[in-house]
Amino acid sequence: RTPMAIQNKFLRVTFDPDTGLMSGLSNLKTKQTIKLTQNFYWYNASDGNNSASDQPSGAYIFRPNSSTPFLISKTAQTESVQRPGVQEVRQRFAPWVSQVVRLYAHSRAVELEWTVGPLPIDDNLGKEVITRLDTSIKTSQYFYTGLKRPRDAAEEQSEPIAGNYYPINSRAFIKDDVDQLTVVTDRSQGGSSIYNGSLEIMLHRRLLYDDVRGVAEPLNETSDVFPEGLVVRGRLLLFLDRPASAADTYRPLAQKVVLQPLLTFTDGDLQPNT
Amino acid sequence: QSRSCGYESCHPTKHNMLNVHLVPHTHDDVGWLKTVDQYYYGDRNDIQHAGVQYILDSVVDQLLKNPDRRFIYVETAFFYRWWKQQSAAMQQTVRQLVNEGRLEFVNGGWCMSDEATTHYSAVIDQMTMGLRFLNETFGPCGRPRVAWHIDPFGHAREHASMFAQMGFDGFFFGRVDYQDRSRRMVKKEQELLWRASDSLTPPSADLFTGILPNGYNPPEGFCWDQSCSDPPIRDDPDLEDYNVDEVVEQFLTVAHNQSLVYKTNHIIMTMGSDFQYENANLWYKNLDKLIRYVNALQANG
Repeated sequence: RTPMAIQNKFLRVTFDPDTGLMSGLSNLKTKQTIKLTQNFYWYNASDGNNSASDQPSGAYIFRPNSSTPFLISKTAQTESVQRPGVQEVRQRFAPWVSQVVRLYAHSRAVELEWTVGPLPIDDNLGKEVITRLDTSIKTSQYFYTGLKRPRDAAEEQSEPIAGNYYPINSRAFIKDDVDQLTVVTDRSQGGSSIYNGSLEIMLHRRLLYDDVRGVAEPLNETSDVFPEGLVVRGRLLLFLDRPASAADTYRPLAQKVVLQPLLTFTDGDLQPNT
Repeated sequence: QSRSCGYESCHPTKHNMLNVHLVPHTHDDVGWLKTVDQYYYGDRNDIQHAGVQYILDSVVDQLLKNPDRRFIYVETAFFYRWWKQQSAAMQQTVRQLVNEGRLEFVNGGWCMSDEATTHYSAVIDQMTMGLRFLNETFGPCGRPRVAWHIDPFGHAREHASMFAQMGFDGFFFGRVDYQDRSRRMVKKEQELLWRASDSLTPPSADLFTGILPNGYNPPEGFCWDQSCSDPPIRDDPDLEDYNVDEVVEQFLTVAHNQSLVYKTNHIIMTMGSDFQYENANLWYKNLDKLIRYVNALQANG
């Protein structure tokens, strides 16, 4: 069963018991709460057979053939694990999409450990998978990747989704006057805020056509380990804060992700001089 | 050993005329369709014809043939591989070319890094690795003055900030949004001072930035690499298809048109492209003639 909530001394994460999805996030210190729904979607990659342009989506170019991504699942099957140091809600959205929502006892951020792949291509559709966070934060057309990113900045916006994607190296956030939701990533990803109050991050892509920029092959990653298609696992760290103080949290958090401890192991007893 | 590298080695210009700066270069991807070592050796030319070891051999040979010739080199990952295979005599020859500003390093990092997905700390690491090699090998004359990111797919402000803080005087690139470029061409804003930081006190993160005229390729009709098929300059009237007048006129037209979208009477032409100069003679022989015949017009006014 999905727990109603997991919480530590900093954060409270609530879940919708009917869907198994996250439903809200609170900062217990600042006593602020937002509605927050998180789910996984995929954009159907353009194959290039299009009246506007014959440009397919590929290793370089993101060109969805529709601005509306497909929802992978309305609900998640969940399983909950509660331990003294950590609380987890394990969510399964599809055979190829799952996630662990994890709150460590001393963490200021909730961890979303996502596992995506192998992306199915038996329908002959290239897929570009995102996770999207839809919140009650009243943003206007801006989101932030370090720089302030306006929606539809180009004079003539020919691609309402792709033309609003920006590189995210370590963090992205959306905010209004009182609430800021920040996401710290563990790798560089693309992302955007397509709707007010919404933040999306691209996690994995699998494409069937080359995008004609020289590489001359579709981005279709397989290997001996992943013969059915690459499976990727990563983490997003999420937290809620006041806009004025959020940087005090995300800067050290982003540094901790990059400069993380290196664990080494040795067999047997530790000698005093080892 | 004489030293006149850096700004001292610049060719004279004419202040009352349009000056076209021909910049011979090779864009050597540190791994793309082939691996870095396949590109270095020229292995697997069935995938892409490219062999950096031959490019460097050939360029050095051609630079020695005419002291007016210049070449810029960018990717230290390749240059390092080549350098350690050279004889002491060749290394001394190359040092001389560098000291006289005939071979100039630009950018100078281990590679030309991506700006979208790179972490700033990794960018500093790779730049340091390349610049350290150049510094230890060539001293002050090996120090690049400008950053050269002709191919990355978009440009990050943090990159410009880092380049400014590394002491680069300028930054050149080829890829910008097509609508942005159109507007900048109309307004002559393809050269600018990029203020790359909100927090650093100016001018610590201010960097002169130039958007190159044709990506990083030569103007149409003026590619004389072995990989191109533009007609060579045929300057012997006794032979067939003499074309000097035609080429000069075409060049003046291209230069004039380009000058209309830049502010000063100095414009750049990037004479090179992906893995070019494997047989540098083709380029330099024609460039020497181009320079000679176009400048000859000045004598007549």
